[in-house]
Amino acid sequence: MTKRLQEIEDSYKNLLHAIKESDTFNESLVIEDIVKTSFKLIQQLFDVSFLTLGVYNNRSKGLDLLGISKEKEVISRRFEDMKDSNRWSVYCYQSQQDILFSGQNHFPEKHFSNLLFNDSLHTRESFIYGSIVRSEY
Amino acid sequence: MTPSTQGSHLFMGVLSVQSIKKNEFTQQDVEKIKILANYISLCLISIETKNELKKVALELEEARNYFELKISNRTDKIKKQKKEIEEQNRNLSEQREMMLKLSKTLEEINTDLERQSMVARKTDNAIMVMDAVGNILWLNECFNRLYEYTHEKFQQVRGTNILQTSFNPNIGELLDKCITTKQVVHYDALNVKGDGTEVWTHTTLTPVLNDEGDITHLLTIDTDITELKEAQLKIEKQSLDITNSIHYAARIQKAVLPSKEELKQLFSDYFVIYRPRNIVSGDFYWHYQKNDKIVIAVADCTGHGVPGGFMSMLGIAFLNEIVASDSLRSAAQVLELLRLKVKLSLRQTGKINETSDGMDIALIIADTKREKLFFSGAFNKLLLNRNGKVTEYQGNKMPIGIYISDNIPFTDHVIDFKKDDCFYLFTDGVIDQFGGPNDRKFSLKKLKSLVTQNGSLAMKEQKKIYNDALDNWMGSADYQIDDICFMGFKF
Repeated sequence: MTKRLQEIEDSYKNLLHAIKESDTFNESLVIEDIVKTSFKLIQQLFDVSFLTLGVYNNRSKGLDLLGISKEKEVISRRFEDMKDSNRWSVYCYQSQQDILFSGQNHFPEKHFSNLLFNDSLHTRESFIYGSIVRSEY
Repeated sequence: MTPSTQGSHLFMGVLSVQSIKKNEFTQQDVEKIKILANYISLCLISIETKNELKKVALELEEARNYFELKISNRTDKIKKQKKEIEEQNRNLSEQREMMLKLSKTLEEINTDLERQSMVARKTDNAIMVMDAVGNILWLNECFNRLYEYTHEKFQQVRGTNILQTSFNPNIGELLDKCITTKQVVHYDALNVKGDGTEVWTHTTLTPVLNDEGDITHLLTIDTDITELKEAQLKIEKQSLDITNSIHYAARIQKAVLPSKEELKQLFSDYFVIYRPRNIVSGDFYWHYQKNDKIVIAVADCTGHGVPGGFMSMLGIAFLNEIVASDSLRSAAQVLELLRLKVKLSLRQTGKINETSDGMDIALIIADTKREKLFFSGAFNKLLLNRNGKVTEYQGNKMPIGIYISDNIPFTDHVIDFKKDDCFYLFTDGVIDQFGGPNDRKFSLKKLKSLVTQNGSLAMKEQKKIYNDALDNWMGSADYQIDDICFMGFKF
């Protein structure tokens, strides 16, 4: 009887795990909608080629990046580790500073003099990185 | 998603927009992006909240299921325990019922034992329980009453073993017999009681056997048979007195029968076989002599023993009267007179419930001068053996006494006899005697055969042969069914 109870409890835990994984997936789908919606919205304001939303993942200690381009309008995914601070997104998240880059003449070198950024700039002539903050936490 | 915090700010992620054009964004656009980022943060919070709620709901569901499972398990356990308790209760109930039954059985056994004990204690029989060799273990209350001893005094005076206590002189043999055969032994004894008086007891000595058939105890039950014994002694004395009287009567009866000397004077040779079934006989033989005439009779009165004896005395008296007053011309006439006297004396008139006593008889009158013989019979016969040839003379088929054809006269047979002729008269006790291999009657045929074979022998020898033949036939004297009278003679 005890053995049978243990088997049932194990089966139940496995089921819960499966549900959690499924929820994570659903969550991703919802975030994709946010990305798509945000991209449509922002296009009405600017001429935006790319939009990237990075959501902090506490388990993997990094940012789950979902990007969408004007050309393909499909979601691409990428992960950037918090250890890799040479990334613009990681830098933005860790420093909690908004970044505006509109051309080399406007590059805020004073902020990035010590950084060697890995992001290629030749396809992106201008960009903005803003942190997503929940106030009054 | 667990973002990092700084003060009251929670950093959830990064929003980035890029353009392939230079100088596309301004500081104002940064503000716009920040506004959008705020909206996105709200969306993310919403998702997170929703997920948290789902998680809580899931945990609650999990907890609920867990507790349901636990409760279910607990319920199952309780049900199982309840079932076990019910089973235990049922077992206890059965055990209780069994105990009650056992208790009732024990109570019944106790009651039965109490009754048996009461019977053993209160009975009018003296009971003594002993071990396997007769040592006294227990005496009941009746011992006080029957033997006028207390238990202690009884054992003190009489002893502690049945060999010492019993007044039966053969107690040793009786005890051995009981122990050896493991069977009940009965015996009587005249005991001396504590107060010096005597009491007759009948004792049943019983061996008590265990399952293996070994004697574990001996038991005596003494019954006071003093009154019975006194009555028995009285009866025995009366019986002895009666027997003595009958023996005396037999002496009287024998005294009236013809003596050997008288018969020797009548015949050249003769024998008489006279066997009363009891002490006195209903059969008799009789003689009378007047000048050249000899009268011989052999008779069988109804009944045997004392009644037969009375009738035979009557018959002898009547015959004596008749021959004294008669001219002795006819045997048949003698029988008719005898019949008349019997009927008159016994008051036989033919009415219902009257006595029909009487006698069968064979009577001859021998005229020795003229060598003529007259025979007449009431049922009885005469046999004549002349030179080895036996002739049978039948009597009339009617008795002396009241009878349906008692007005018919008796028949006279007249025989011219010769010197060596042997005559035989007998009662039906001879031919009706049962015996032999098939327990049949001796029969007239067998008698005639014997007479034929032995008629030439001396009468003494013939008597022995006929006696032996009868003895062999009946086997034992106890088996004699009637009085026997058998007479042979020659003139």
